[in-house]
Amino acid sequence: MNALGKALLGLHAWGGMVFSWLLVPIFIAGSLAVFEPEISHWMRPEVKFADFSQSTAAMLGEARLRQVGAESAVWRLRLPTERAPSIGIGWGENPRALQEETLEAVSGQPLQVRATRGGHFFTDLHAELLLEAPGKWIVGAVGIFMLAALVSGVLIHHRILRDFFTLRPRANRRRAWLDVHNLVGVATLPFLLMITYTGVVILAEAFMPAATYALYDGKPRANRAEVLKTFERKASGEAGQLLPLAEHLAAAERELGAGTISNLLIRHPADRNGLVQAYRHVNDRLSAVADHVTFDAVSGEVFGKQVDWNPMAYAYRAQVGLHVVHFGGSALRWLYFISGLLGAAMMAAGTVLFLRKRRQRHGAGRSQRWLEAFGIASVSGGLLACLGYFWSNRLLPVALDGRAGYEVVAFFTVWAAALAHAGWRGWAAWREQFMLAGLLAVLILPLDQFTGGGPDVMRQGFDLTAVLLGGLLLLIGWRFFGGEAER
Amino acid sequence: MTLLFIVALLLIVAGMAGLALGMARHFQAVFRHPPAAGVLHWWRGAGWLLLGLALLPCVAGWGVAIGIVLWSGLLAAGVIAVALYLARDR
Repeated sequence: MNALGKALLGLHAWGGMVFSWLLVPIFIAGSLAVFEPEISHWMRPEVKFADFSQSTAAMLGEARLRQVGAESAVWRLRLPTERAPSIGIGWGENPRALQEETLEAVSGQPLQVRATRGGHFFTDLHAELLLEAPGKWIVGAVGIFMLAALVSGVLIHHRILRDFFTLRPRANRRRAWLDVHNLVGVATLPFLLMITYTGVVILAEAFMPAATYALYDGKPRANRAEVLKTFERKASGEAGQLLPLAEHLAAAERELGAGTISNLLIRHPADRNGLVQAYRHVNDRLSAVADHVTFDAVSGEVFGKQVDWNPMAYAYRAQVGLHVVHFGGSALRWLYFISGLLGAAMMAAGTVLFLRKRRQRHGAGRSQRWLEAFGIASVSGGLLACLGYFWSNRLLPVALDGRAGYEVVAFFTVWAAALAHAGWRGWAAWREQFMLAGLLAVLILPLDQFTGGGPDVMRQGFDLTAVLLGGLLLLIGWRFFGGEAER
Repeated sequence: MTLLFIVALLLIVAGMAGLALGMARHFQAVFRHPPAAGVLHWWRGAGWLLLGLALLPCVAGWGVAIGIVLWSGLLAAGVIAVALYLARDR
């Protein structure tokens, strides 16, 4: 191997291991975030899946909004969909800080839904490590490193083409791990390049704001406003009779397509100058831009409509769309979910390879114990933390004060405990944590049976997935880490 | 949609199997005899052809833009499925 190869190997091995401490949890969280609405549904067992009609739901939501927010300047109405089968309403003065309530999709009755961050927790963890702006910088930095690791990986694992399709599970352990690392890495390479690149592009504005700042006088949202038209007007002060929202919904479907509307924003609902804005979903286009139409709330005439987009903005949003996969339905979602988990598995296999080799060369000194503890905690510890989050959702009392926060506390407590356990048990922790994670995942099914409040087709899908993945984790713990204690 | 998905997946797996059988080592492992001269090219050609054909159901069901994304994602599934099959008696 020449000097460049050696340098690349060092970068790939050391850098890959250290950055995978963050990248593996980011990939796991990102894969889960693909199913954000489904996870949110599972974590709110008070909401039942039901056969709903959007137009009835619009009537029910409107009736409730009239009761609770008749005087409010803004209403928001989220209609039930296949993936989020409840009505969400919001009312208040500022559209970014509304009071919210969840209604049953068929009866319109307000639901006492437990406080939880649901699946959105994983989106926040994935995109900003729950730290907002500084988190975005960190995630963006490790994303850029990931691109370097992918390229250097292709260069140093020069046998990947000759070894295409090759897995040798019964060869020596090192060979088997290397095969997994290379094969999964090569198989998912197009996905990994795409998802990492688009992820960095999405965050680029967060960690390189200078150009926007200079060109838009320090108002970073101004460039967005330049592309996204808003149709607004001031309240007149005179009362007006709002046309039923179900009629606005029907009109919006005529403008933008039947069955494509799930969100309505109403400004000044009781005023003669009121406006009703409807957003189209983006499920059938790559680019994550939502066409929208605004109606005069009283007359029902079209006040403004945007279906044409600035081509550059459309192209940029296609990269966002590629990353967040709102398009393509369940086929694409499962593909992203599995590919993301495979990406995490590829990095985990790389970590195992590195740690095994280093242990053989340098023994199990203190620094080796630390590296192993962090490696184990980032992989199986991260899985345990996610499971701890799900379990706490069902085991914490429903009426607990600050409940949503305690679920997050459970996540990080389990993660810290996994780190401590890995530091204490060393290499054996791999197996123990994978087995425990597999067990907790399989037991999600009975947990949901006892605490889920009746059968629900979406939650059953979640349970089944958890059982399958749990079985896989048990298999990995048993086969890949079996009989390998302290070696 | 489901049918198109299954057709696409089958074509991709078959195409990847063709590519694998176009490699001497995997050919030997599956057929238990070394490949005759020139036969590997045919396997590889068939593999690429099937992978190309798989684009059709993807584009038919999801449109060009999303179909291509689906197709390239399925490639990973194909590689791993074929590799797992080949690994079963190693």
